[in-house]
Amino acid sequence: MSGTGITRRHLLFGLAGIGIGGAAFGLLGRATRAPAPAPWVPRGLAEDDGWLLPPEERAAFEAADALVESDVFALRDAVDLPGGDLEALRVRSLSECVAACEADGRCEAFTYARASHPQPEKRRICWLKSEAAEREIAGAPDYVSGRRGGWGPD
Amino acid sequence: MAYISLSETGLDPYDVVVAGAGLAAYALSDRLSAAGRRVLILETGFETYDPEVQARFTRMEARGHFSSTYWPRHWVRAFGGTSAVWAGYCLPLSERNFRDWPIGRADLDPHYATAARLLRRPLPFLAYSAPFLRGFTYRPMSLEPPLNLAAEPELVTDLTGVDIALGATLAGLTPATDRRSVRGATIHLAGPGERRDFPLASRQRLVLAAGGIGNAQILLNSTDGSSAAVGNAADRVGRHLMEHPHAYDCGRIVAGEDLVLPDLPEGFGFPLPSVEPDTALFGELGGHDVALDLVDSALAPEDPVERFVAERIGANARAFTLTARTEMPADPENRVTLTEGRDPSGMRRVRASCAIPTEALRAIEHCLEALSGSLGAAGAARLRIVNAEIYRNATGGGHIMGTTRMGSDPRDSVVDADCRVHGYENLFVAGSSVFASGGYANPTLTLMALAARLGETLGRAA
Ligand SMILES: Cc1cc2nc3c(=O)[nH]c(=O)nc-3n(C[C@H](O)[C@H](O)[C@H](O)COP(=O)(O)OP(=O)(O)OC[C@H]3O[C@@H](n4cnc5c(N)ncnc54)[C@H](O)[C@@H]3O)c2cc1C
Repeated sequence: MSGTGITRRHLLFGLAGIGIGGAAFGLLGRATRAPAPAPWVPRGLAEDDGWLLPPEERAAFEAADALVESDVFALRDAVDLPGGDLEALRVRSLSECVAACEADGRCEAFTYARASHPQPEKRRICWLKSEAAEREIAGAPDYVSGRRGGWGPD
Repeated sequence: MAYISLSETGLDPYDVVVAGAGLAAYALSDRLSAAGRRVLILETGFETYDPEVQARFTRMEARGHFSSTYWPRHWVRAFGGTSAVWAGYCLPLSERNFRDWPIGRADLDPHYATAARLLRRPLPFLAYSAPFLRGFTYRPMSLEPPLNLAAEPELVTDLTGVDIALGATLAGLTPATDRRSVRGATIHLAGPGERRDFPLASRQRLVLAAGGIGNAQILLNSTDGSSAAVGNAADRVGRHLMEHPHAYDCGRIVAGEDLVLPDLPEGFGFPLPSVEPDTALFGELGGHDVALDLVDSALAPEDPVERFVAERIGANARAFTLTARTEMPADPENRVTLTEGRDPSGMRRVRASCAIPTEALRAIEHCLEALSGSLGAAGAARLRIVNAEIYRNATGGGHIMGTTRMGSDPRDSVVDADCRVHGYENLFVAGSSVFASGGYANPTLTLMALAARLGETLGRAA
């Protein structure tokens, strides 16, 4: 994440403002396709899916989206890797996505969409990629991506 | 041949004149015919549906949750009326749904059987219900093929003593000087394209069966401008307009095989599985009735939560989609009024203003919450509430009720317990416009029961 000074907006929005503003600046810094979202829109808030689950079930469901470690891939949270898709799999968890890429010799990288993704059809989809695009979209908390050979210099 | 030309016969030969040729008129005429009465049905439309007639007669204004095309799409102007498009869901109102009525379920029970027979339904659905989970009663609807009078006109035209004038629109009523009866009817005839006044003798009865909008439109137009319209001395005509708010696909259930719907009695016919709150939960919901339809549905693995829930339940997991129908309290500000412009019969056009109150939608939400709790307590099952389908996308069911409501107090209603317009000895209303409170059940079975009851009353009268 590129460092940013404390601005008046951060002071106005408090701690949340720093997180929000930081995400937005990270995005701007990488000159990506998507326009920067308005800094006052909170990021990473999931729409209530409406399922009435007991708390322990809800926790078990959400745990499948938590960041995991891998010996093979360097994982980055809140990063989307566009392009280079081999296949889109419907999976139950991030670790299932990691394992699928690991098991596929052609798979150099992957992007996983969390269940919090605003577009229902993308929730818990795992994109296996033959080559990872150089461009990455950071500040996208609904995604986790991984590369086989690490990420190179920022 | 039951079709007549009004210019040739006039109204004189008939004991009862009915405005509108829909299912209300059918049930009414069936009973009058059985009692040996001579009936004339006036119908705006023709044997086949004509979109021009539909457009010119039903154009109106609307505000609220129902647009200006909503009401015309649910009020067909042709022989058979709205029976051409209805879906055929049938269920009687239960005792608690008669809350605001001067009559109760027992008054209608024999007539419910008549209505069910006319609609070709096996009878068990009229009385069946079974406890189901904590807080709920299983009360499926009867879902036989909908009777379409336009496709089977002989059901009406073969009735002994029943004649029909097509292209004839009742455009106004003339009260007697003492305002205790109607002594004339203004009828627009499509053939010559003109309005004619026909006298009515005091022995002759007139029944409005023109649909929930049409009945109010006729009464509101029945004034020469110098005094209140017929039946509207208390300014109640057109008020208390109600619909049944429907929230389609507002929930999902994923359950194991231990969720079993109760067995239906022999010969029930085709059911729509549906549950309603039991007495205790009904009270907790503030007296708003709600039905939740449980429709079998394929599992949706594309929803990761549903997949997660289904996999925990196991290989036998199955899904239901839930649709809610609810009750809308009668509000005098939800109403039909007259507006600028005239329809081809010369009647002033109408404007509907109708908003779904929040409490009706909350009742759906609370009912779903309660069902979720009961399912969870009973076994492996989980429920999803689709918020937007309740609070954003709720719409009506084409059930137009309340505009000439029944009551014992003429200051707060339009017709009495016999469907007679307060004060007028020969003027009656048939249709869901007389409903004083609407419950959640689709209205046609009940409006036909009321019309059959009215037919028997008028058949007995000298
Ligand atoms: C899409 C849809 C689905 C539905 N599904 C169901 C369902 O599943 N279950 C259920 O119970 N109900 C259902 N309904 C409602 C049902 O169709 C109506 O309750 C029922 O048909 C009303 O019957 P009616 O005879 O009172 O009025 P209508 O059938 O509307 O008949 C009124 C007749 O009067 C004529 N008319 C109007 N004004 C005049 C006038 N001034 N002079 C002469 N004639 C006039 C009209 O041309 C019409 O033929 C549905 C409605 C729609 C639109």
